Amino acid sequence: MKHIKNYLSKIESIIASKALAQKPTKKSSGLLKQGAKDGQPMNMDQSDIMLIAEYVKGIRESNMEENNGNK
Amino acid sequence: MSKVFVNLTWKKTMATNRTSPVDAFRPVPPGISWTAPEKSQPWLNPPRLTSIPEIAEAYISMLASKEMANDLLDSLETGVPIASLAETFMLSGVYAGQHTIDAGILVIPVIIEMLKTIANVNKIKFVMFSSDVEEADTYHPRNIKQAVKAALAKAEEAPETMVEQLNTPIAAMPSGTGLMTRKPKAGE
Repeated sequence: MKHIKNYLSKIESIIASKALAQKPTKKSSGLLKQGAKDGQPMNMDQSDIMLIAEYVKGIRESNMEENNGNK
Repeated sequence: MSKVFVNLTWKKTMATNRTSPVDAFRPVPPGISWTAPEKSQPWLNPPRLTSIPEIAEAYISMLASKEMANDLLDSLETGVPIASLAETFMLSGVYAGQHTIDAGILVIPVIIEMLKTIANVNKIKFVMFSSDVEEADTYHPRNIKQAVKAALAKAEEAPETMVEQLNTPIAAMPSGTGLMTRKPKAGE
């Protein structure tokens, strides 16, 4: 179970960093990926993890929207 | 003529027989009979889903289906940790030949998030990891200290009460009531 815990904490940190990155700034356009912004190409695993983080965030947001709709 | 005939028959036998005469003398690796033939199991075949989005979407649609809902809620209500459930789902996907174990491990957070959402929507209290259950079952050291203190205090009080009990006279036992007591003879 420890590996799942570590993995989940990594996903949480990615989501948190994305939320911070989404705040409007002059430099970022918001369309590029984190690796592309830094100028470093992401490897396959990293891009997969970013994708999973996106999915988790999407599920969470849809759940939040449903909860708000019910209220 | 006879040579040609022999050659033809040899070719025929080679075509019909599965093992060549060379194979009969080749040493067999020990334990080969315990191994499964190639592609005999679903997980020995190439996986059906290869990309991460495909696998994630397959799990999302599977968990959101109505057929799964009742069984899933039952298992969540019994207090099975969500991480264990997600791992089981993932391994069953590997067992069915849907995806590789590597891709499955990557997708676990999506399954966990779906399970959490389902539990929240149905207002079910869930346990995240099996270690959380173990932590809840164990006692805090402070509670253990208190229990030991209370036991020691009781032990100190005990000798006095024991002496009092020893000093009190034992009530006379009623005679002739036990099973092993002798029956009085007629003359006595």
